[in-house]
Amino acid sequence: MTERRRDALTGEWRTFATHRQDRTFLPPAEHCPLCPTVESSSPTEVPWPSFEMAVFDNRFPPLVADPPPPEVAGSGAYRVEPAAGATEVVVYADDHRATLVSLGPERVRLLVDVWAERYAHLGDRDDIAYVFAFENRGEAVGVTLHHPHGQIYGYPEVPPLPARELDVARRHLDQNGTCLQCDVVAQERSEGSRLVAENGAFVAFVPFAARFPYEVHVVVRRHAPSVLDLSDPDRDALASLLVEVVERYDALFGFPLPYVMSVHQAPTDDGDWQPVSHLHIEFTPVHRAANRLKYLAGSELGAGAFLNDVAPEQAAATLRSARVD
Amino acid sequence: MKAGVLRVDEHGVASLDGRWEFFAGDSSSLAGLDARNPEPIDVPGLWEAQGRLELDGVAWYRRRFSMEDVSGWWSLTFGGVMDIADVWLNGVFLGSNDNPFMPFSFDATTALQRGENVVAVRVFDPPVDHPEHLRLAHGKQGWANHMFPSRPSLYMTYGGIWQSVTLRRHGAVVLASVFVNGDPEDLRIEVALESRGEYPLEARLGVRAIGRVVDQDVQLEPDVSVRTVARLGRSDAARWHPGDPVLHTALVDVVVDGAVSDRAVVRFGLRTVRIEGNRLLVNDEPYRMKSVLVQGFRADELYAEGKRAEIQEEVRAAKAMGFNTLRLHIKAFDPRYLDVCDELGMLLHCDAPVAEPIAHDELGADGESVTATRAVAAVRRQIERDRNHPSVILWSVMNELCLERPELRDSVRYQRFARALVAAARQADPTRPIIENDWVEPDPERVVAGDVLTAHWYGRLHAEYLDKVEQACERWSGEQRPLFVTEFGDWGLPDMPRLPDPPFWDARGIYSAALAETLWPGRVSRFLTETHRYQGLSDRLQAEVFRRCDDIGGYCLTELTDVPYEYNGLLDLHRRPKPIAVAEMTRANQVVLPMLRLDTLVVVAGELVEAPLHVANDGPALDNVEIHARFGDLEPPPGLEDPVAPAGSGPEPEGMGGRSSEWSSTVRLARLQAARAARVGTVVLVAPDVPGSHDLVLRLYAGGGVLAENRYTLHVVAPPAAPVPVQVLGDAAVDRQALERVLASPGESGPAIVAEGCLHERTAKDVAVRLDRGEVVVVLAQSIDAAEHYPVPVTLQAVSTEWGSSVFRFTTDHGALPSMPRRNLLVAEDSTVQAHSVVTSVDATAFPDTPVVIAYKPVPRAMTGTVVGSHRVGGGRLIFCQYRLCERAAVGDGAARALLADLVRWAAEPRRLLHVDRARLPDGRRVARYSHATEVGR
Repeated sequence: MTERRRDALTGEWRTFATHRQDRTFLPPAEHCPLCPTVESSSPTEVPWPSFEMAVFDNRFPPLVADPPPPEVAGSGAYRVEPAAGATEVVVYADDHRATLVSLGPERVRLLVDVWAERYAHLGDRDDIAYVFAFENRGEAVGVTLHHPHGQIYGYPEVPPLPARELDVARRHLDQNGTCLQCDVVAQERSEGSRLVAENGAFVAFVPFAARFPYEVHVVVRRHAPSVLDLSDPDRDALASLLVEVVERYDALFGFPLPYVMSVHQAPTDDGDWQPVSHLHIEFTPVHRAANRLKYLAGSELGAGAFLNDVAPEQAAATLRSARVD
Repeated sequence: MKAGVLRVDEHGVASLDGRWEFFAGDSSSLAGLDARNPEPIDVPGLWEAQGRLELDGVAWYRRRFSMEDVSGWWSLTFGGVMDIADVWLNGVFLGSNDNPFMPFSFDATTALQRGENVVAVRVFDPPVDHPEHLRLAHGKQGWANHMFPSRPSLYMTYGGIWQSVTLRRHGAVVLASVFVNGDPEDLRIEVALESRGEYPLEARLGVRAIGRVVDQDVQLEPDVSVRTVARLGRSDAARWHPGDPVLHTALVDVVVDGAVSDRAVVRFGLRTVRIEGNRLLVNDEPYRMKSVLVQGFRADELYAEGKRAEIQEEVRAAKAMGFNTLRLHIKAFDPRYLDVCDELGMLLHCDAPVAEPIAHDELGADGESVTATRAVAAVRRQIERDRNHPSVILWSVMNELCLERPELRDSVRYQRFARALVAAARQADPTRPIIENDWVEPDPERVVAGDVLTAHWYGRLHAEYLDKVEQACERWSGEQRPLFVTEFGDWGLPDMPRLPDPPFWDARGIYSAALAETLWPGRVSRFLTETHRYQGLSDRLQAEVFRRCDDIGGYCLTELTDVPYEYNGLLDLHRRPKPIAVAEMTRANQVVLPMLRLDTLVVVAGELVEAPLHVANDGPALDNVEIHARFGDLEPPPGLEDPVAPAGSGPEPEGMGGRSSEWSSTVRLARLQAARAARVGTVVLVAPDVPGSHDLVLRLYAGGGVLAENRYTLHVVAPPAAPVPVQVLGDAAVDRQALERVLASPGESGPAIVAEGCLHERTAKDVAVRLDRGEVVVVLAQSIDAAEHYPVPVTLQAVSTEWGSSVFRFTTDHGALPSMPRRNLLVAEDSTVQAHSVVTSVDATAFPDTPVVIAYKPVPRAMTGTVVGSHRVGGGRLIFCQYRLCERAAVGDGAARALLADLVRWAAEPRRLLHVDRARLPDGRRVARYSHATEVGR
């Protein structure tokens, strides 16, 4: 079954892809499908013996360009649509053990360029309204393949979290005439207590009302709606800051910190997003201490209301002081 | 077609609207129609709007109807037939009409018969190339066909019975016209009566209005018209005002032998229009024109008006945008349009359809030629038809006549023509000012009889153009006649719906195809939306020039709605708004408008932004006014407000004070005069230190709250710096200065830069040698005749804004110029450095290897070219830039410096490019590997 159903109570679309139950789950390194194809008799998903970065269509895609018709029909309060869109895998390196930190800013700059290229390409499709690049790192956030990689989903509508952010930003613009995220950046830089790192073009900080203890947002300082809008120096700056944030995460508890990294940027439908969309990358690590996870429990899952055990200012101070070589 | 029984209502009126028989082509006789098979057609309506787009020339209309009671006197009236009509009733020729816009009536008494009747109309719609076309009163029909040779478009000619047809019973004496002068100090109602009787008659005329009654006896001879005036005197009845459009009714009847022979109900308003010096006063209050031009073209009815509700919606939309006037352009609009404007309080500037193309050699005074006679009659009849509408405050009796042959304006023949038209207009209506020839420049010495001067100033969002129009406003200030800019405006492309069977005006296919070829990397819809941003800002900044000038009486934006091939509407052809453009003009139309006169909208991060502050106040005087200027709307975050005020805010008129800091600037005024525009101070701010778009917001406070707001989106660029050695080819001191200004070091090493205008035989040889050696060479802007000296075959084409069409510029995804946003339609980022020509081919292909900025003009004569790009030549790399940077950069212009620094850095440091290998997996899925490659050249 591959289809999208709209939840009648929240209005949110949910994707059903039952074939994904069979996807590859934590294979041993020698059978990693994301490693390069060294011998043609043992092809992987990347048909070259070496590569710097590779992108391919997900073998178990929840969203596809030419989706089958839904198995059920919508009626009454229920709406059903084919699971149209795109799901791509971005392999960061041919080295199975690499991380963003070991790859370094230059390779991460290539990742930023690939994000921009895929954003442009997928965003041009009429069936895609939102291009969402993300990375799951660590088994704690559900990683099924250890090879360093991220993913890019092309959704047929703006997904709930970015939609809510854009809605709030739109209201802020209507009321104040300014970009909300621009104002947030100014305030974070002015107050300073939640800053983790910054450079000429980007700033990283723990959000004032973070959901997760060590959540960090990496935000472009100037108003740029998407990765595509970044200049060459901006892209270098983003790459360098992403590496620094992950370095600090890895130094935090002395092990590679599992996280979800999400790129929030302008939808690619025909809306006027330029003044309200402000590119930012959200890191949501699930640890609240070296040996404790922040579980989504009653309040979070049942009510959508996050409880956080660590003051953002304290989290930022800890991350600032985390040793970075 | 069977003759139906015609229903005559209680007022003696029967409508002949509905289904008629239609015979395309001519017939040698009326009887000849019987031998032909008619098609059905609806009246009223143009035949082009009923599927006969290609039909020109003659067609016949015929309708049968039955009447039992034909007693009394009858008039057969046509609201309008386009263009020439000959009318028969039951084989009796009633007469002809040669004005396509005006109503006309014939006495049908004798011809009408009991039982079946047949009315037949021969309609002649002269094709564009027919001599009669140039002799007829017309507006845009047949205009600019050399620009738009492919029919059909707005500029085709039209044919048909396009307004209602009625048969009306009355007595022996009819009311030929009723004119209410609307003057509350001396209200007069002038009535023209005609007798259709065979003997002298005595009639009693009754006039009732504003609670007064005037009766008088009138003696009438057969077939003679008599004019009489009922003086109602001064009245305190409610005035008609745009904010409170109170309408009154005059009841006029004429009684013969104790029976009402005819009656009329005329709506009017009490209001005055007069000129005092160079001001126009409406109800003795200064009037500032904030007008928008309406061409009266609809997707469904083409050149005819829509339903009353549709007209209301259109007028309300204009009013909601802050417009106080509509210019009804070179077309006598259906009177329903004027009715709606009366009711909604929208002022009107009405053009008579006397426009190019016209038979210039036949101009002259009334009676000297068919052309002159028809034009004079067109003016007189339109004004006689429409003069009771209080919304009308201005007549234009010609539009841009002699634009094709400007020298004729000095001829005696033209001047006699102009005087004749103005005289006819004044005779028909002595109460309103007259624009003689709504003309492109004020030219007061060439306005021989009109009261008002006009200008049609079309230009683009270029600093050069805005300067030019500012100078023009100053030049014409101080004239002793009101001056209005009655046409201006820029373009934004409409987002047309995807239709399976697109109508003839649908240009979506043109854009889609063209934008695919132009390398626009995004969706067509995004490009179109961004053109609205360009259009809105361009329109607003031009409107602000006019609002800053106290001696300009106002403006008329072209136009309210798109028409085919003219995409400068705030609404598209389907009346859907271009929201960004609408918001900008709504801002420009505010009653009180604070404004900055900014030389550029591109500023360098951290540098001072200094601009004169003006306020246009079209309302009453205001006391204790404060104007705040700051980047962004919010107060700066705590701790960011600079407590130390830097240098002051320039010259300050009396009664003013102010304060400035890096973050905000405030000007205080003890009093803001009523109905005036004035400079009130200077704003000095420090540009934000973060590149990107930032709004500079002006807020005007008065009476305890925010009364008005304005804002300028400034494009902030990083401090331009290219601290590298360069070699300048060509002897151009200004280019060296400009390069030094961006910290480059002209000398004997580094990439070669061919100075602007310096690519000639000698430098070309040097360029070729360097490229062969694998070097990078930058060729700055060159004129068209330098094309032969480029190191690869190129063609250069002038960037023209011929007939209004904008040349849009956009950036690709290449991102070689960090100070410009990628994949963006440029709005004001390049307004100070506009290219005069672009590269339309490189080495036999349309674009260079790396196109960075592209220019695209959709119509007419579509053009696409590259403004900035790079191309591999030999082993090296040519970078070319047709933006004119150096003079501006040398004097500090932010955009010029930023782009020059970008180019130098691009030349000095080859960029990393994304290299992609694409393949397919065995199961068909796509896979690609990415790496960075470096541009060639060193």
